[in-house]
Amino acid sequence: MVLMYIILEILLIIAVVSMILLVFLARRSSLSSKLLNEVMDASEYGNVIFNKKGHFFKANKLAKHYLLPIIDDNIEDFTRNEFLNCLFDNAADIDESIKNTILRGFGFENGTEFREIIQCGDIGYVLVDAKVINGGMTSFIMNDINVGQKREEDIISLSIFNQQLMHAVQATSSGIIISNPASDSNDILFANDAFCDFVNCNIDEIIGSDWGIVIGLAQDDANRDKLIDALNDVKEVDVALEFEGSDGMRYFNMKLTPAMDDDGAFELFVGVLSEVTLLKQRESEFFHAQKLESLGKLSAGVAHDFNNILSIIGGYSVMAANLLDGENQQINDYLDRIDAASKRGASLTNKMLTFSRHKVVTQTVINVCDVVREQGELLLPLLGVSINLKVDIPDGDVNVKGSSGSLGQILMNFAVNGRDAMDGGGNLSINVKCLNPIDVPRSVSKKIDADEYVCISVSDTGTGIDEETLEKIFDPFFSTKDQGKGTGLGLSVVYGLVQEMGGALDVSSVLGKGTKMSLYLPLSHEEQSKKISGNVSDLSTICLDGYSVLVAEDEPDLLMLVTNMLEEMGLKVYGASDGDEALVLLDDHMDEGIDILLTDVVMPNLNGVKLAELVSAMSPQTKIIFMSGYPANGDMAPVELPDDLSFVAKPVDYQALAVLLLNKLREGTPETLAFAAQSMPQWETVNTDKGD
Amino acid sequence: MADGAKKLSDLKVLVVDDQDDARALVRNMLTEMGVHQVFDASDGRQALSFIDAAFDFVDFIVCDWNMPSMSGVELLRQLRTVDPDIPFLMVTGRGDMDSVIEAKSSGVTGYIRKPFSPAQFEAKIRIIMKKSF
Repeated sequence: MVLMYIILEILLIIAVVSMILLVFLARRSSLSSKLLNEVMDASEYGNVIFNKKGHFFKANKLAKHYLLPIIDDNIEDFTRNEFLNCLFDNAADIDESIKNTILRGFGFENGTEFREIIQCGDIGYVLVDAKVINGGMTSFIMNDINVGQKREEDIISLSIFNQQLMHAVQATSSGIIISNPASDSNDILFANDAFCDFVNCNIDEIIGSDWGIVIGLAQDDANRDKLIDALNDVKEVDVALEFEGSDGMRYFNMKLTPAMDDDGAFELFVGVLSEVTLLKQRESEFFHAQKLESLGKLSAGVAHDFNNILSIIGGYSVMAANLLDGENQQINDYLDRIDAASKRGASLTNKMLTFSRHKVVTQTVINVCDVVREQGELLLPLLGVSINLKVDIPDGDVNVKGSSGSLGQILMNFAVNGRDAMDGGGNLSINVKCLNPIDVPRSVSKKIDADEYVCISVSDTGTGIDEETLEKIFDPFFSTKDQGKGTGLGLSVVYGLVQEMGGALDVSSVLGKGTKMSLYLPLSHEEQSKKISGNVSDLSTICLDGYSVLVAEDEPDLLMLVTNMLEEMGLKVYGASDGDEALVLLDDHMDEGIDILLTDVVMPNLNGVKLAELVSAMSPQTKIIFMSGYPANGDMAPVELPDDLSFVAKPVDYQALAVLLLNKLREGTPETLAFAAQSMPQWETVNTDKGD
Repeated sequence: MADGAKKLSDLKVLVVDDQDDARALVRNMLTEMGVHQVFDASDGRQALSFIDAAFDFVDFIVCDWNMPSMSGVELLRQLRTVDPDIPFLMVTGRGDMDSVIEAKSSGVTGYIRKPFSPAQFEAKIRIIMKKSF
């Protein structure tokens, strides 16, 4: 503002001096009045001159323009005092003492000069400088100060805009770097905060340095050369950059653009970096998922063809054995082996299908701790003496939605892999933890959304897995084990089961130190679906909540009685009046599964033993209890019962039944037992196979 | 047992499979469980003309999915236009959900995955019979 006034002052002095000269020349050298008018009109300032007597002398066009909003008549008709009055009436900020002096007639005669800012209507403020010139004439030089003010406002708003622009540049997530190609080494002029963050540098280290800092980040030689060429030849280029940050590699794309000034001259180099790390991760996850998907389809196709072949091999061996009817023991043995081999083959194709199927499994709420505890016991003989098993589970229930069979199988697979990675022995730890979303890996929280997670991890102190292998461990048929020792399907099955359960996997490994396989599931706040509680000594406490039992009994009254007893224990009961109906009920409830079949031995249509055989064929995990009024076996028995049966005698005793049910349900699940049995031969039956 | 066998022995089954050995295997399993009236067809067209000519001779169909010229599902769809109720058990090596859904939407009564044991097969037949008759 002060500066502006000084400039105005100087300009006004020049204007006044030139005006004096003009008037002087006009009078002395008979310069025509017309010429004088033209010269005055050409001035950048308004000018009104009154003669010595106070009468109007001259006014230029600009002065008339300024005065138009404040005077009604022609300026030519004004006397100096009328004009002064008009000025004072419109003064923006009047100095009363000057006004009085002037108006009383003392001012000009005494050489008083003044300066006032006048408000000229819509035109705005005009600075009026009154001077006595040429021996008593009065000149009023008028200058539109709005122009100056506007310039100042422009400067202020430009500076605000600059600040906003700078904030925007700093707020953007893209890294921005600008260099000055006119400087000796194309010095960096500017880098925003995002750029500094990307390359983990302080701004001071960047400003004034050259492009070396960016060239060093080029992903490969091709990108490096491209960038150098573009900088040398002043051209636009897209390059890929990478930087190893504290939490892994970060990837960027940079677009380098030469910026031209208004005249088209090359002025600046601008580099804009966008981070593509997440995109790259997703891309690789997508490719991995796609690879597994196509492998799944492939293996499902192979499994399908193999199933056809296996059904013929197994089927005919059974038929041949039936024909022999036990006559030739040796042929019988051979046929048994063929049948067993075809069953092994079928379990393999089943695994292939488990990997690829996308089945919606009915899930129940299970307590992870129970499953881990049971599994720990099953694992002990499998691990051998050289491996030390440590199970660390929290107190209380940790519930998830899933299937205990699947979870058991996953744990068993993890453990078997851990065991095989520790040839000379070591430690295997199973750990169950509840975690907040912030504590789970990003890959997991991206996949499953939960407010609390359960992490079940199995760590070994074995050889570890290198990065290349780590990418393939879930691929079907990928195995690092010796031929014959592994099918390469174990972890593929895990992958399939985890998909079914809606969980996520995370594997970390350090070569020479060991591997940690973690399964993440959303924590469930629901009550456990199946729960065994109570004590045999106090029957009223026995509770088998959530378990299901299928009762086959052709005597309606007895069926009702047994149903009542079972319901009292908390069981879900399905009652069937004959064997075929029992099969239909089992078929209808295959998805949720039936835990127990309680069947009468003697029934019309389909007897209990045959029913048990068919039920076991359909649902191997269903445990079977017979009930009969006849003794279990012996001469009196109308049907021969299997040796290792569970039997409850009629009339059915509540206590005996309760004890039997408790024991049956507390046994390890047949699925995991079957897997445990299978895991052993993988390495222990190699010799037997060779012997064949 | 006696009643059950009698019921199974009443059953007239048409087995459709292009592979002779697989067809013979199913036939044998059926015989073993007490089904004695078993007819063969080696493809879908043969099966359709058999049913067309001797409708009363068939009250249960066991059919393979993968067959040349006419697949099990195509046969099933055509059959359903003339007989919406006849029990149809699809035998297949396919276990994926899409296949099961396709078979169900085509009107299959039951679905059994290869390889299966005689007991699994018998259970399936019995369940379908119980539900259908």
